[in-house]
Amino acid sequence: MYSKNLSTITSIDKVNNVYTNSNWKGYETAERLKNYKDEYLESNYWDDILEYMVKEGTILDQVVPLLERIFIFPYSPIVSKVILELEKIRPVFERSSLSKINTYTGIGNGEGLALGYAFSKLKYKTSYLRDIPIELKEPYNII
Amino acid sequence: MNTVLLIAVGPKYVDILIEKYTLLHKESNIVVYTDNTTKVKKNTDITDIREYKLTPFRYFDKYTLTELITREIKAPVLYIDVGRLDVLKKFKYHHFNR
Repeated sequence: MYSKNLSTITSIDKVNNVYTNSNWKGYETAERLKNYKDEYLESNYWDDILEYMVKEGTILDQVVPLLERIFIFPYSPIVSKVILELEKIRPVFERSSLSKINTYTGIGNGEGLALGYAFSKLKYKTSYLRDIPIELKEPYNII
Repeated sequence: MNTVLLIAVGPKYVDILIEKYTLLHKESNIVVYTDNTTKVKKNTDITDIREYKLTPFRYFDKYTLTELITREIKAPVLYIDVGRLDVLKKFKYHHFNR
């Protein structure tokens, strides 16, 4: 858990980086998703996706599964490159969500893992929202 | 003025959007994609409401639509899941692209 007090914010700058909302709780890298098991997904749900990533030359320890419920994209060419990488792996995620048991109502769940993969492929370092130059109403905790 | 993208697909998320979009700062430029533009237009004062034609929702579209809008407006875009709008009770983000 991270907390920051309003008094620590000293400047408000233009955003020119991607900001996301931390990694999946308990999963710092995709390597830990092997043999995954929980109540929301079929056992080993991620294995096909991880296999694809490895086949594409990715080191799973360098892929951070990101929370994607809140994020900021800057106006930057890097974002278009991220989208291109995401579109390449999108069919793998959508195929898994359609063919494997899961509790999600939409198609292509796990998109935060895909985002982390795209950043890893591009060797692009993102920032977390906790570090964004926003104004805070009160001390804010990000889990 | 910051731009915020919200996507509301399905009755549950359309209702959440209508109930909670006012948590966004009043000066925000809100863009909504939804499969029920009629209901959103009728129940909000959001002016930029666009049709989302695929159901069920494709999760990757949150990325493609956010990127699309950054190119449209040539500025950063904040995306928030409508199910997470409550987080705006804790922080305000509306100066992030000053």
